Amino acid sequence: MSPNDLKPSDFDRLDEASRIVFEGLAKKIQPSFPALKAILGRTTTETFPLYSHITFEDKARPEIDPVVVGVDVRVDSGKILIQAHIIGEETGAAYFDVPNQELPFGTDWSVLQSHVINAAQQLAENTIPVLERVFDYAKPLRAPA
Amino acid sequence: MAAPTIMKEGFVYRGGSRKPRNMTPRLEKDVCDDSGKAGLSAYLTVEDATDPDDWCQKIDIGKLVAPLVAYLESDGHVGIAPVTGDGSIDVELLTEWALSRGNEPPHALTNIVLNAIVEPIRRPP
Repeated sequence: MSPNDLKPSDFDRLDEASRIVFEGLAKKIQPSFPALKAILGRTTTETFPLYSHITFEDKARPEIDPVVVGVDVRVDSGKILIQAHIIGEETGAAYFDVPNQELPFGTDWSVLQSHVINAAQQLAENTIPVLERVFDYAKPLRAPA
Repeated sequence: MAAPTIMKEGFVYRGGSRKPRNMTPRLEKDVCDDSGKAGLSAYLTVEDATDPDDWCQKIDIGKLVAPLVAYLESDGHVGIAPVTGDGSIDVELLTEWALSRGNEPPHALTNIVLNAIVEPIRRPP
């Protein structure tokens, strides 16, 4: 990539890559958390071209803030920034962060894509403990000893 | 208590994620005709918007466009809501906006707020 030539279609591809990871996460979690609904989504604004996320919520327990697992990719100050977090949708509670990554313009596409996929995978690997803590499902759903 | 005033510029903070649902008011608690109380809640300070170590979104008031305005109350609470030509809360439009909460695509007013977000902020521990 040459400087600042990320196109909307590039962000679409990064969203697709994240989505594949998040779809796998939803399938993995469903048997252990049958009451949780997983909602895939993407938010695009003028400043933030890609916030790819999956939200876990229990419709029967609306008092519990949904958990958002998301990867944010944007261009700022001559760099490509990747931030990835697990947070509370309305509280902003910080449950897990992948260390921020900055890539220079000109980074090879495959490198950028692999960084985004890696960030999504790190989130996926750390989601179950968060869901257990937030929704308190650990004890009732584990098989008796 | 002083009457709420309309902010023309500056920044406010809303706790939580940058998801459209979090940038859409709730029907049961945000819809009324009381300027300052009505609409999407935000705050003048990060400390009022979120707990230590948690995330909020920084909103540029100058990027809000009509019919949305930001009414500032004396305690630092800000209500972002649609208004009519005379500056009163447009309850009908606010209700329509709140009813869209969780829908895809987001309501046009939600998109205005989303486009006014300039930075995610994490409050120091």
